[in-house]
Amino acid sequence: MWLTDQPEILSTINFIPAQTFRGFSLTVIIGASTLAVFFILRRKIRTHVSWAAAVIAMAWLPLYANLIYNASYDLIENSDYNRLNLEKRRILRLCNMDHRQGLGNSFCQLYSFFSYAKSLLPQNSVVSLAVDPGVSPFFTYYLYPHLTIGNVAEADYLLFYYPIDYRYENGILYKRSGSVETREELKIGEYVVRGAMGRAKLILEKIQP
Amino acid sequence: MIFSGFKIFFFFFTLTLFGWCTLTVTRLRLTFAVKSALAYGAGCFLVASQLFVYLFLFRATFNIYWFIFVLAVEFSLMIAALWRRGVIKKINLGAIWPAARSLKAMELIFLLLIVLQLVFSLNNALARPTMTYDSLAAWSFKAKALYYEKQISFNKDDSLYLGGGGHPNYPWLLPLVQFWFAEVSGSYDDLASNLVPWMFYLATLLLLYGLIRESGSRLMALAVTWLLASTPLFFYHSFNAYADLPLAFYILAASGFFYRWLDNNEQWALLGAGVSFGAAYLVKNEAVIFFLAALPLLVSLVWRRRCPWKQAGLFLITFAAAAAPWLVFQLWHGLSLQNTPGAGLGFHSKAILPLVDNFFWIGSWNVWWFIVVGVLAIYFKNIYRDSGLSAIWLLLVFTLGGFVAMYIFTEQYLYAVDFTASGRNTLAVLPFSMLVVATTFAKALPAVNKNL
Repeated sequence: MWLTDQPEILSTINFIPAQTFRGFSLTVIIGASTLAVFFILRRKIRTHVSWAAAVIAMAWLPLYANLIYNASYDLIENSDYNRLNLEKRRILRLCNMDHRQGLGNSFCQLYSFFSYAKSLLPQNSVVSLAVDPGVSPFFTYYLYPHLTIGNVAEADYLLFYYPIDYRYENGILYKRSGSVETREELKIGEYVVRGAMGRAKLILEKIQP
Repeated sequence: MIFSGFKIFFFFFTLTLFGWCTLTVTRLRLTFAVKSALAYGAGCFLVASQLFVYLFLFRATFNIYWFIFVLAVEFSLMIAALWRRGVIKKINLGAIWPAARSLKAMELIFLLLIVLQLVFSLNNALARPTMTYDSLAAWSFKAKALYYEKQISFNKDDSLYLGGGGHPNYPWLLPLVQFWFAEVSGSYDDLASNLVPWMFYLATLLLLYGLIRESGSRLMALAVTWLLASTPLFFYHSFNAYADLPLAFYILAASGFFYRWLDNNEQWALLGAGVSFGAAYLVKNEAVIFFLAALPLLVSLVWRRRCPWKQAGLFLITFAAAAAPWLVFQLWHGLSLQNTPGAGLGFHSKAILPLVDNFFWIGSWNVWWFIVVGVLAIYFKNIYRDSGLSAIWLLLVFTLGGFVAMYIFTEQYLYAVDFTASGRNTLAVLPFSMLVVATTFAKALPAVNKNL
């Protein structure tokens, strides 16, 4: 209960999930207990700071132990990172987050798709994206400066990576739009497959009219 | 490897030295710890604001030699001024060693625990490349694109319009310091970029220590600094290139100055608060809420004739002057303060429970906010009786109230419901809240200086 492995996942940057005891947050259990002790010892705490310090230290240490446990774990894991070059470190961190969050490898395979796209397409090409909005910043950051992200109209190429609202069939790219009930498919344009890494990871080239 | 280490050291040393000289020239009365911490923040702010004016307001193409020349001239003038005043001859770094030798056992334990957190964090910063969403979408991408383009695009049809990436309305301090780092080191490296926020982590810890030390004992200052260093979300941000931790640094500086003015009525401290709030505005737009939270206090003090209106006016002018580059640019290009379209005022009760969870349920803060509630309840009478303490507590309450109101009454509630922003806003308040609690102990229990 005290020492819970809390590996980093994508949402860690926004909040650290609570450790729980039978589904109840340990933050609340320890925090409320601290308030109760504060109330019981209020006279001593009001006049002797050492009492306040002791209560705060007792309240802080259990969850601090977990932080140290996880930081030590990360320190050991970093020895794996330190053996790799920068590109492989990126892949490792992405894959670790993907596996620990159960994202089904879609994040883990991102970087190999970037490398594939960079090797296949001419440098400085403008590409548009048919991807989940959750991964589009990864494309923008890692493809730049080799490739530039542009809109569908100006781009000669399109990167198709597990998109939610796009469908590619018989040389035509469609985009679904509207609510689930009124969903309609709009034709985006005609494309040929320039490269593929499975069925949901395609590099498409626009057929010029 | 050794050469990279030297370049990193050279970059941070010169940036901090630049800030140090500026602070010394302005003759602010600061302790060594506070000055050292502020020196890094001042260096970042000065370099970033000049880069911003050069690239965004003058729309110039970046030329590193020209920029180094400008900085070298400024640096030389400051060194000359300090030499004439005999400041350089008086610097005595040897005084640090006796202070370090006099550490007691408990103080040494807390110091080692803080160093341990710094080691864990630095190891992560150097091992794990940038991978978090906003860093890739905005902060680090802007730095990377600027490094390769050397100029800002003002063409609305360009994918790199106003620096590219998501959120063109985000301020530029962090990307510009990352960019400057890349320029000085000769290559853009997303791993090395992590070091800029890590240095803010170190500077925030040092600043908190120094500010507490002004009124409390060394043991208390080290103990509270350790609490901050080991707060889980604060620790996690220290090795991921996000702007929330740098924002927390400038807000802590502003609050520290503001409290010093409230407590000792030192006018220069109010001006320092104005500049720090302005610098914070170049880090994140949220800084405006912290600034607005200070205004009711200032107005009430002017109303009660405890603060001359000229002093209050100077505070507003220094804030506006420091925030001017970004403020002018924002108004010029019609960039919004918020990410959601329209103000959309209304009552969003859905946000209340997630906000309560943010403070008291999740694991981001250990049990810090329970401690804040406990300290406020127990020392309420002491706080009420001391005008300085009550004012700094009111500033904390107004700041938190400002964020809570933003999430309950505007369309921003979405970011509280999905936990994507409320926690990071709380992170910016965290060091300031620790200063408030520590100051309460020091003021309410004067014997703290002897006993703890």
